[in-house]
Amino acid sequence: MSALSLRCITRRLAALPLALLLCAPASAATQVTVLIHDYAFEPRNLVIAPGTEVIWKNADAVPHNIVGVGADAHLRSPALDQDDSYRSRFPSSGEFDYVCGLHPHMQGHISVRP
Amino acid sequence: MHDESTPDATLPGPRLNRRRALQCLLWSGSGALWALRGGVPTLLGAIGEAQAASETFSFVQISDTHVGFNKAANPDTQATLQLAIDKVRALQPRPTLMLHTGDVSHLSKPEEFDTAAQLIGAAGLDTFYVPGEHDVLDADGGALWRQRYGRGTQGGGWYSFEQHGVHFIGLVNVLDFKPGGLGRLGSEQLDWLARDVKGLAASTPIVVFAHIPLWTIYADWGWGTDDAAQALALLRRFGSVTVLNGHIHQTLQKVEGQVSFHTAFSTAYPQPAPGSATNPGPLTVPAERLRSVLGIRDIRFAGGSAPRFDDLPLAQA
Repeated sequence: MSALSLRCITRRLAALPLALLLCAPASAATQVTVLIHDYAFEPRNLVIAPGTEVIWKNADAVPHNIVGVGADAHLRSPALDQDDSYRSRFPSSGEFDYVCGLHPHMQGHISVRP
Repeated sequence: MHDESTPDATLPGPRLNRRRALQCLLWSGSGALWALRGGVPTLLGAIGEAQAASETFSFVQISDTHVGFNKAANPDTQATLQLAIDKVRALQPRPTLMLHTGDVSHLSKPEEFDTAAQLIGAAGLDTFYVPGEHDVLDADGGALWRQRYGRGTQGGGWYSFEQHGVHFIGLVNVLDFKPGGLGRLGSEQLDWLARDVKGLAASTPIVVFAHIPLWTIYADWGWGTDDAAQALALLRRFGSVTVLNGHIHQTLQKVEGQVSFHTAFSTAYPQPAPGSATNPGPLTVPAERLRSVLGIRDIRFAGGSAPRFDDLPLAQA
């Protein structure tokens, strides 16, 4: 197996718990990770319980960042170079949209539900 | 906006000699303006139409230097930028000025801007900049850029200037992105552009430079500018409009009426052809090929005629 394939699988496995969140009801987990890979947020739509900390980790060779949209504009990370991460806690219920400020076609959404 | 060049005694200056004086000489006949270039008369245009046609001059475009990038696609972007500047210094005739169409830095870090200024300054040319999205990543959304390059600019950093009768317009389309959108100029900048060109004769050659292409090359990757059509409508009455962009790290051209569009090489790393990969990320090519897909652009104006473009890779394939 090539190193590239192994790396790809490793990344997919890292994102697996996140993918499960897509199908699962609101989780009581206190920390979840959103992988930034291939110019996309994985998962793009995330459902979490109030108080959960979201960690974005950039696996791409180019920088990305996290910028809240509209009323969520307070959410703003610095530029994340490859392997950098950013954390933000969501204490209350609500719906949160965000994009990559460098590549606005990359969009994500977080639902915080009890 | 621009850096004053550092005088360099080793570089050939724009000394006036008989040949150059002849190049600048204009005379009229049968309602037309001509210039002598190397002894060959060249039609410049009709009298009263070619106010700009004072002499031949050239300038250089560099783009997407991404100082600070060090991944597999190019572990040493400073070295390739140095090669690009060496190529600029070797150009004959010597260019009058240089444009940098953005992404000077990779992560908007002060030390990246410092290194870029040092390397680019060695060209010994007045250099005019517009930001790329990688240059406005600081917490204040471009404050660091405006501190360094914003003197004499308007709003988010746009400006214009004249050189040899050509009207240069530097636009900023990397601020205020909308979700799912492309580059954006915004109403404030469009209003300024309308005022900026209002008093210009239609015969004035126009050069527009901005980071993200002003024509939609591939929307899925954000390779276009949402409100570019409004800007181009303001320029439609001009006889020669040249639009220079960076961002996509490859040379593409398109002509629409009197407007020609040109994207430029990067000096740092190539990117895939539009839609040819899952994403527009850095393209890793064999090390021996890298310099053949990076480069600079030499642009030569011959009075009232359309400019000539030479895209010059850092090395032949």
